[in-house]
Amino acid sequence: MADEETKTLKTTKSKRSSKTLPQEQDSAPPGPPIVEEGGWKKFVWNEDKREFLGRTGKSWFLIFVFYVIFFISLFAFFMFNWYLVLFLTVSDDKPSKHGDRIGSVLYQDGPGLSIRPIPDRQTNSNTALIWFSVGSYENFRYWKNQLSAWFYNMPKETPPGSGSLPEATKECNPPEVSNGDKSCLVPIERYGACQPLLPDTSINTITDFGYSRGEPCILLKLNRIYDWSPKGECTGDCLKEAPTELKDYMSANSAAIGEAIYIWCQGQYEHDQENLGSIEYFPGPYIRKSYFPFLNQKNYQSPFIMMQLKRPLTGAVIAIECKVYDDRLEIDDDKKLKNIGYTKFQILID
Amino acid sequence: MSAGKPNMGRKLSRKSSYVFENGQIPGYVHMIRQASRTSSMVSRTTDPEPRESYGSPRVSRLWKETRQPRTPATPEPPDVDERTPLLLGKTPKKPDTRSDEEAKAESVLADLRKELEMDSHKISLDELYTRLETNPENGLSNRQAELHQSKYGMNLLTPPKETPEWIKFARNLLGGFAILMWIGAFLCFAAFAVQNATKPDAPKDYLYLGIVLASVVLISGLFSYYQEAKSSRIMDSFKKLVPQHAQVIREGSQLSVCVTELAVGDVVELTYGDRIPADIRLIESFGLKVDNSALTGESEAVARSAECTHDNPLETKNLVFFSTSAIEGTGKGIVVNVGDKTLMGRIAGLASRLESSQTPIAREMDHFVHIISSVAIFFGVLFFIISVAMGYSWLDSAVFLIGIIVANVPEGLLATVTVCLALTAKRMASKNCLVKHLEAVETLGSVSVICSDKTGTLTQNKMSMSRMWYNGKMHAVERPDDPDNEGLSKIIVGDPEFMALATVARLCSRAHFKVGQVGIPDALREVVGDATESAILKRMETLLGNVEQYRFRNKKVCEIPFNSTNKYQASVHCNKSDCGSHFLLAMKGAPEKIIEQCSTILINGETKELDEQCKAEFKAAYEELGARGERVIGFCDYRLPPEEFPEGHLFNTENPEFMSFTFRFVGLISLIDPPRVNVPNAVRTCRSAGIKVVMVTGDHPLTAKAIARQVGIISPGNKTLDELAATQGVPVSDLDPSQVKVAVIHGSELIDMDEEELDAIIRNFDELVFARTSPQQKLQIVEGFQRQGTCVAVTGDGVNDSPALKKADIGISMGITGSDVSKEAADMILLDDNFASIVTGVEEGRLIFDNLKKCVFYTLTDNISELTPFFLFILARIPLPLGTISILCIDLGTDVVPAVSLAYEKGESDIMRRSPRNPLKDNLVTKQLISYAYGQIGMIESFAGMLTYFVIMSENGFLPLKLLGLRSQWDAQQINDLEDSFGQEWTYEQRKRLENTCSAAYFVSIVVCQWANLIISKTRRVSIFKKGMTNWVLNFALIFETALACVLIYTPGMDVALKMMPLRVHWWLPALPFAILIFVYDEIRRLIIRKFPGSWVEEEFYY
Repeated sequence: MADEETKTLKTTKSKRSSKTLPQEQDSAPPGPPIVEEGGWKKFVWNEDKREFLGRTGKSWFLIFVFYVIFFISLFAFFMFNWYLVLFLTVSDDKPSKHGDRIGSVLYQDGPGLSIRPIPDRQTNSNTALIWFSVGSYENFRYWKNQLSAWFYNMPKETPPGSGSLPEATKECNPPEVSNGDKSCLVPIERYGACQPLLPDTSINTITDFGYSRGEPCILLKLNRIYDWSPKGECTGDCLKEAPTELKDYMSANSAAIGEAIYIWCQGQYEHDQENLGSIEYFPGPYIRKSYFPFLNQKNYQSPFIMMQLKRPLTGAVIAIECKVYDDRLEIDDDKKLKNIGYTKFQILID
Repeated sequence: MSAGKPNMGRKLSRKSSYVFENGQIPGYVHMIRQASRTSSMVSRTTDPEPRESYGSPRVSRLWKETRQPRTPATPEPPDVDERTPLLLGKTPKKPDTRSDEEAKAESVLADLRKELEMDSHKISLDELYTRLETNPENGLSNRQAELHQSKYGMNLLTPPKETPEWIKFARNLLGGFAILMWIGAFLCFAAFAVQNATKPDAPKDYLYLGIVLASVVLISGLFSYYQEAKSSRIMDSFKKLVPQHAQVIREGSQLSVCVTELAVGDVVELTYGDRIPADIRLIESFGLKVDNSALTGESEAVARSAECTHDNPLETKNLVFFSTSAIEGTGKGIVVNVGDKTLMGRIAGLASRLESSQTPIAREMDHFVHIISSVAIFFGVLFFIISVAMGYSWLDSAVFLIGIIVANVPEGLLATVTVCLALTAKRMASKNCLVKHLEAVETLGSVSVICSDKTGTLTQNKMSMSRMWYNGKMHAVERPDDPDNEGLSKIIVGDPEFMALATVARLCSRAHFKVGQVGIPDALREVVGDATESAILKRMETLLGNVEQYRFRNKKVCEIPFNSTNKYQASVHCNKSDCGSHFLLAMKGAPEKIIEQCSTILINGETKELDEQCKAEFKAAYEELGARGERVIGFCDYRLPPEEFPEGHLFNTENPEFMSFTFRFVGLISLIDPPRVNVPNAVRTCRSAGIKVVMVTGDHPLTAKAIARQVGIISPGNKTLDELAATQGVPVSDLDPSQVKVAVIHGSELIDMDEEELDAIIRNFDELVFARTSPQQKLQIVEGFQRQGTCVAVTGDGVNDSPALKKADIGISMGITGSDVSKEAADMILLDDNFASIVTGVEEGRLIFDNLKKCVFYTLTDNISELTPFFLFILARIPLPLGTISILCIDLGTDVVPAVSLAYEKGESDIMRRSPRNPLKDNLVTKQLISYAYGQIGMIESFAGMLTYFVIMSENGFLPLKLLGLRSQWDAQQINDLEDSFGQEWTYEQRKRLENTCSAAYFVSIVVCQWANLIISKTRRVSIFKKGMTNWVLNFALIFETALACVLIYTPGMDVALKMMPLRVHWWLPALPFAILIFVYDEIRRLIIRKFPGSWVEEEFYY
């Protein structure tokens, strides 16, 4: 019996090896084994299948071609929609939203009040500090240059020295205002100590805007907004808000100035006001209404005023806030936050 | 099989060797190993023997007979520590570099995987007393008890070492996208710190963003920690199994001690109703019966006595096991194993130490998180380098990095997936599948193999009559029209042959209905008595009615109860009838015992001599029924001669005189635990769904095979190798094993198989039944399937199933019959115990996988449209079109509800006709999904957003060309008069408001595109016009998403809180053409996929 047994075993053994082995391979479960061989190297370049990153060259080509076509078509669709929009709402010469009725956000807000010079973003982390040393040209050059550049960029007589006005500008006398064709010319020579070429040529033709003497000039201007113009008067609440000095100034000069928007600066806090000393405005703390509205006229020059700090305290940071006074632009906290008709900055003179 | 041999076991083993000599060796055995121990299986396949309570020694022969040679010849004390090296020798350990502690834990686990080996039941009692230093009368002395406690340990289950809670928590805080989010949050805080250091009144944006990011991580971490904390506490449920007190004899007196105090060697008194307090060798038994269902899953009272009947500790009658329960009788025994060393302790240890593998969906999510994280890191680093190279400051570059991370990470997705799973879990609970771990919801859908327990899951777990054999013919009791019962006669009530059998069946029975059950159908009435008799009683009541009354008329005057030596039960009834006799003897028992007692047989209404032909017929019928795995009982009757037994005769039950007669054989009744009604359908559905159903049972192979055939686990035409050999009349060895697809594997074969052999079996056979498996073997089988890369579901209800349940990809326990331990070990509980509920589960699981795919696609799509603004911001230097906060509003706001609503989508095609997904290939996130979501739909959304951005910018004065390169001036706070295309000047704050307006508009255009995206996500293949918009949750989500967007934009105060600005109505419009484009584009893609299967488009863009 034992012999029988071993015999049977042998036959079945051989049978097992001959027949069941291919069977095992056939019925192996689908899919690759659990642990993938080769790892990422094989994934990057599979020599057997000639696959790069899991795709053959043909496959890469097809998918590339597909995506090229896809993106071209998609971009075409985008451009089609864009021109539709352009056709419907956007025009080239004026913003599609302007004026009171159509409702531009900017128009409803009113113009921001901005200053020159402004600190450099890269070198000065404090966003609104004008900081220089008296006497060192290198030190205040950065600030002074901004003002020079401002004056340099103002519309000039064409051709220079011809005496004719720049194109699309006119010289305005008070009741006269800008219109779509011609904007009023901002006279360059009315900025007293804060203009690049001093009227008295005997002293020094080129000014440093007071920086060398520690009496810096700072330019204040209203941002341009299409079709916006101030009311030109300050009555009621506006007048109540106004500091006494401004009121005095207004009552003294308003007749001569006519319709204008007033701008007045002072120290933010009491100690700032003490440190600040007096401020002189050129041509005055107002911008005449005749420079408005801005209608994207050629050679339009933003009207501006210059203020000069007379003997501010050196070695102390002085916070200065400037605010416009007009019935159409009453400054509340929200507007202050947005720098609309209001700005504040610090000055530090070493 | 001739009658009269006293020892069935020896006879059968002789017979089996006879078969063996003829070369009828089941081929698969040879295929799987060159075994010399096949004899047991051969005999099994031809063995018509009934089941144990009627006297089969087969069990003892079959279960692990083959282990004998390995049992040490010289008895060794059952000390695990000494055995461990021996056992460990079997599994070669990997050279490990791990710590000692881990290695030790592993060796414990390896040890637990082995079968219980002991000899305490085999050695003589005296030897046992000496070894355990105890005495049956006086028990242990208190000192010795203490000594033994310290030597063998306390009778306690030691809980496995747990990971500290804070580590689990930390893991949750660092899993998934958490690391990326932490980096983002850290960068935010760093950016804020740097800004704050240089400028005191710096905006706190980055601080807030950092806080938001950190809280998102924290909340989702807490969420998943909470999910995890709810999970298994296996040891707790084992503790419930532990009885409280035990009656012990110590120092000669009986006392009640706390079970934990029990020591090896203690003499314990057992009474019915007790939980067995430890593994105990019986020294006395007075009709002690125990219910081993906790261990074997078969809930049947088994008698226990003091004799060692088998080498295998599980089979021998003189051992009772920890946490099983005594049902009848009393006994006394010696504690041989306590605590973790008990059989139950080992199962508990195994179940709680096994690490359940990662669920498929968790693997998918990991895979997905890896992909997305890689993309995020790649873009983040790339753009960090680019921006540094382009001259941006370190701070700016870090800020870009934050944006790219936030845009790339779908913050809400993991929570969305959890919610989707939870919704499905809820739906499944209403269909009787209670899911314990959310992730298990999907696991069932990926299952490709179900290893099902038999008893109680596939079957009803209650005996019922299957067939009757009388008058030389086989009769079907139930469902005579069933194809399975073809060729069988129908029962005709009133036939004299039937009535004779029915009379015996009705009278010779101790079962009776509980009183007071009027108007309840017979099948549902409660019966007192054992399973077999109850089944017969119920059937008789249905067929003939009023059994009680019949019994009353035929009063029982004498009874010989069943015992395991006689293997029969007889009763005498007074029965006045015309044939003259006053007393009728009714007897039933093991058929071979009954036929021994008979000399005549009832055929065609006549009592005939029981000749060789009749005996052959009987044998054939008996074998046929035995081959079906049914429990067969023989019946005979005899009219006691009136001369010797006159009316009023007093019978002596001690030494019954009537047993000297020979009786009249009336027939056989076979019983089986029938399959549940809808199981065959469920199995068929599983198969059409490509799921292999495998039976793994502790029950007998023949019964297992029979049930497997009935429920379709073995398909009707398929035969096992030895069956094929039998029908063709050739030796098994002549057949090609590869032509056979069915195998019934016996637990004893598994013991000595190594992994490759088991793997070969699993690969080679389509239809598998594993019978007589131990808990460790169930585990072995599960692991075998898992090695093939399949996802395995295991169903089971007993404690014995718990290791397999734990190890399985998804363990399914039974809600009604399942033990607490199995419920704890399982991931899912079938509330109605019905296998058919699994099918529902599979369907839901597959559906949720599909839906999660859609959900992921939907969510990933806008990642690219969130990224594009940053790319353009850095490369084209335009003002930022989409802010980080807006991205969070999309990811954690508007996207969430629509993504969740996709979980309510119905299936696209018949998902139950598909094969299970290949876990290696069919990923949740595929190359195609990324390509289509990122490369195409996401790009269309980006263009839509950018168009909206340019429209708003242009309407406000900044034409696209002006925007190019404007970024540095735009973002410079000191520039308060930035000029636009029309010469207007903008302060910083005004610009920022415009930027926020653009951001809100970009956000809105993503929402608009996501409308279309949501609709196209509903379907991956069929047209949306066919699919319809009947998902009302999704329709609601569309409205909800829009409403939420409006709330975010138009609520006053949002400009400060979320930097969202109110939009004009017409700014919603620019995205609309793109939404339509998305819809049409995808409809075309799906059309091509449907029309040209296998085309390039399907290959590349079907996700």
